[in-house]
Amino acid sequence: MKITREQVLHVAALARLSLSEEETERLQGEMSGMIDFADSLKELDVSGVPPTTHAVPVQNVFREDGVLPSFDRAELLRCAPRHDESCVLVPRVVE
Amino acid sequence: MEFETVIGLEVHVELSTQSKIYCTCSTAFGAEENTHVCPVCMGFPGTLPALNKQAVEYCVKAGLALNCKINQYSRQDRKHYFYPDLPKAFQTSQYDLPLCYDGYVDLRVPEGDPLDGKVNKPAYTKRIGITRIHIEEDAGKLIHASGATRVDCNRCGVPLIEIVTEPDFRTSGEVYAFLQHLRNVLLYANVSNCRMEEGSMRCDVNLSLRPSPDAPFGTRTETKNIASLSATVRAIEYERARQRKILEKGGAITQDTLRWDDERGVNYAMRSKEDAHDYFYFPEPDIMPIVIDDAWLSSIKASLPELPHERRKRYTEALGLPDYDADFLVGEKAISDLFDACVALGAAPKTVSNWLMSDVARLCNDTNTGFDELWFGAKGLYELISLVEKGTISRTAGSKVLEAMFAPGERRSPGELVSALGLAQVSDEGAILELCKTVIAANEKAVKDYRAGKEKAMTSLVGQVMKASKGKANPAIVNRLMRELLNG
Amino acid sequence: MDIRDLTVAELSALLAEGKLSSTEITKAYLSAIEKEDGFIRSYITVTAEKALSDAAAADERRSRGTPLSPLDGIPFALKDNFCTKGIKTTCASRMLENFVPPYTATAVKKLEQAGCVLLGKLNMDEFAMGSSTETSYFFKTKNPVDPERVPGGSSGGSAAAVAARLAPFALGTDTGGSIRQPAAFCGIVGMKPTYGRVSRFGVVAFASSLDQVGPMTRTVYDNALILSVIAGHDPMDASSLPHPVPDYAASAKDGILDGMRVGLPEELLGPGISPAIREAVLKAADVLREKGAVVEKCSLPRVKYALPAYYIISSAEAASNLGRYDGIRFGYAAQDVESISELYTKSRSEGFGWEVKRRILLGTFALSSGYYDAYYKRAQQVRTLIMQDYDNAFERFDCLLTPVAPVTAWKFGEMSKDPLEMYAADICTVSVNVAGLCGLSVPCGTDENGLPIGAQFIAKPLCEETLYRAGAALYGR
Repeated sequence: MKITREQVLHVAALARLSLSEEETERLQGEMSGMIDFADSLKELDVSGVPPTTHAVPVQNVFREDGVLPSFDRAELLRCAPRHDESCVLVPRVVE
Repeated sequence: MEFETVIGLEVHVELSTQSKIYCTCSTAFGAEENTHVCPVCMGFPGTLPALNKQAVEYCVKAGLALNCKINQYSRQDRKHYFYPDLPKAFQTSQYDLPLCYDGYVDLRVPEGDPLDGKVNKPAYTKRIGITRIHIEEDAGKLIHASGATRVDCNRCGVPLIEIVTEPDFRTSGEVYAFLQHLRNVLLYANVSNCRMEEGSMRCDVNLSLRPSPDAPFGTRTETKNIASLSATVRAIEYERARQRKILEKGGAITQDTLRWDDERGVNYAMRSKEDAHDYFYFPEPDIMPIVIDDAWLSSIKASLPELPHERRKRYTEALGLPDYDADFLVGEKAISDLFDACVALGAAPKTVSNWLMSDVARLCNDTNTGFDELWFGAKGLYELISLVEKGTISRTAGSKVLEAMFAPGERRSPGELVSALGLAQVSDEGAILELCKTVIAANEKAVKDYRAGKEKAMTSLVGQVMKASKGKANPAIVNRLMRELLNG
Repeated sequence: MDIRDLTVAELSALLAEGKLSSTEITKAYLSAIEKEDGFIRSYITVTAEKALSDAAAADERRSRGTPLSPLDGIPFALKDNFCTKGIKTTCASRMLENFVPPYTATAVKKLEQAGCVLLGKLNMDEFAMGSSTETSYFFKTKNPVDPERVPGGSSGGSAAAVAARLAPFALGTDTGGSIRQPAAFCGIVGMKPTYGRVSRFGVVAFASSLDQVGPMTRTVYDNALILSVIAGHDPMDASSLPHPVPDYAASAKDGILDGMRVGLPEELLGPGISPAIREAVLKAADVLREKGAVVEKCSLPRVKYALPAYYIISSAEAASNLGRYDGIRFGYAAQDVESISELYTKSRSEGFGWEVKRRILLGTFALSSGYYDAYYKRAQQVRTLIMQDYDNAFERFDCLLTPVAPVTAWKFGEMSKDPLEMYAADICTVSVNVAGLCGLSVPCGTDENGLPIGAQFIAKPLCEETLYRAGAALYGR
């Protein structure tokens, strides 16, 4: 399946990635090739075949409702590029 | 032009589990910023979710309480979007296999304006369809400061149920009644504390207009950020008027997401979450399917307390209480529980109901105490009621005793208070007889009037005996003896 | 006796006998890393100070007669996608270049609790996406057998370090072959256990339903020893299996195959496989027959479709798992941004490399409305069919024998232009992940250029013991 330039830009925007003209063109070709490759799956008859959503036949894996001490806030905030002493900071969001 | 308003709701309710849905952080409200967080709920690399069983059970409980069918095979799905309050850039939710679906509420809708402050009588009953109820995780909070926005992840991962209704509402009154009912049912089921002001119950309103009930649905808008029941009514009325104006001018409604500003009483279109329509749902690989067998389902059903409409039925049919009383009693689980407890101890249902609707309600309201927060509880109330029924004190004295029981720090029993306040009724027939004779002797005219057929004169005579006894004489006995003396 | 030539089993014995100390072993390795890794470049981070202090603690315990386990004091290294508390964990990406996690992965904790000594974090393809370790943001790792060639990927650093004797053993991760293929390219042993056998908690996720942790070692026996330590249920990982962990090492000892039925899937020994590799695998079949196995042809009719299914599923799950890298709570954040939107887009565009971006875009496409049914859903349905093919094969066979890859290690720059060419080299390994099975890569000879060839054994879920028996019989150790 041929991927159009618009499709590449659309998907890139959805994934929050910006691409240069050159990159967009390159990806158009590469993605078309990969989708063509994926299109070979159409050769198989999958009618009535349930999708495998989990690789292991396990179900009902639960945790009992109990509270354990939370992490030290400073330790977690230290990982953030921008933070004050109690919150992570981001550029002003307009709602 | 006439329009029919069509409203559907999406209500998000925080479940009252101790820990979050996928990690062991606390869900307690009001903690200092980012003190109830860990790498899991902050979406750090390599972390994985561990599903809280209680959240699943609470969702099923809510579904059963709202007459839903339960999907005995259910699953979680990832719902993707980018926003700073969503650490993993996806919300683990449920898409095509929600835990509950196809339920309903039979709503008793009061007449009149829901915001007029009156307790209005139900005017009609209407069935509201519940499309689905599913579990998901809450996002964090954004706090806007100057030059930056601060992200507090305390709320990330708090378990939510999302209740989606059919577009069955036609008025804001119906919506208000529904939210009250929903709140009440969920409180009874004990799955949430439903405090809109704390954000544990949030309502999004989907509203559209159409020229007639047979016309197809119009384009709808979604209004968010509604923080109270009354704000819901205001938001609905505003949006209805706004859409109406546009349609009357021949314009078209755009499918916007709107944000309600209750302070200014207006809504405005939200700028964020564009492309929000493609959430790339796919089954969550890190959470295993949820299979609820018949045994588990039965045990959850059994754990549900008697629900409001069931109690209402019992009160009117088995206990013979009038509708008005029944509605009052089931209005809050705490009231109904208190009522049931008193009746269980032996008090007469109508008597208890009268006390609860009058003195107890008034005093609770004045002192801002919940019906379940009374230190003397059902036992104390029952004791007081018994004292009045036995005739130890008059009904008026009973009110005084109750008021005293509400005093801060008061811990004396009703009996002790009766003694302390000297409110014991005089029921000694001999003493009362003497007082009657004295009053008769001093009120020739009243006696003559009564013997001539003026019933009012009896009231005056009895009143005088009461006055002479400083209110302590048992009025029933006074009445009887006075009549015996005068008739005989 | 060169310390670096000793296997984990041998080190364990000598430590127990008091003939070697952990400090001696650790120093030998640290010194080798200093001298030789400037060339091989398998390590991203070397934790020399911590290693020496941990080794000293291990020696202290041994001298008191209270070792934590038979492996107490034995050094090891980790692929750099295992979170290690207080130690940089980069995933070979600019996005996590300076990320220091405040927690440690469960599998690593288990090794720490056994007393193993961490030497450092190893190079890999960025976010585990790749088959040659060339997509690492930092540098390329050389194949110790031929430094002009790739070590394979994405656990290339782990394979190279073990092959070059710069670590006695290492942990890697395998999503489509990332343990088995580099093990084959470098001539060592690599195991991808059954999905869920080892906890994934703390391992930076690539494709949630395919990722698995596994040991990379010089011998089959060593591999079994390590798997016994790291396997087991973890309440922090809902996909981890509750089954008890058997004594894997016992299976890796006897080398007698006593009628084990081994299948040779003809679809994976066809014209796409290089002649030298086919010959080596068929020779391996003969060795197994000599040891008592019954080896016959079999068929996995639809196995070739596992490749496109794998790329759709893994890219979709990767796109989802990598959404959290946004420059907000951790990781790379673009500078001079004026809006939140810019922060997202710039951080992600600057933080991720080309291969990662390509897979995110492919995955996003496969999940988008209008394409979900044709791509993602269909791939998951094909997954069911692949599992059926394997189920059928396992009715007649205890395990299957295939090549690990259709080619041996290629030269730097020789592959790469067409991504599909590189992806096609995963044909032998991806179906094992797709079907949730276990797979073991064991050296079985070299090609005309002296490059290692790997034989792959595949078994049903939770049948790692079968793999170890077959692998030990073939490799002899």
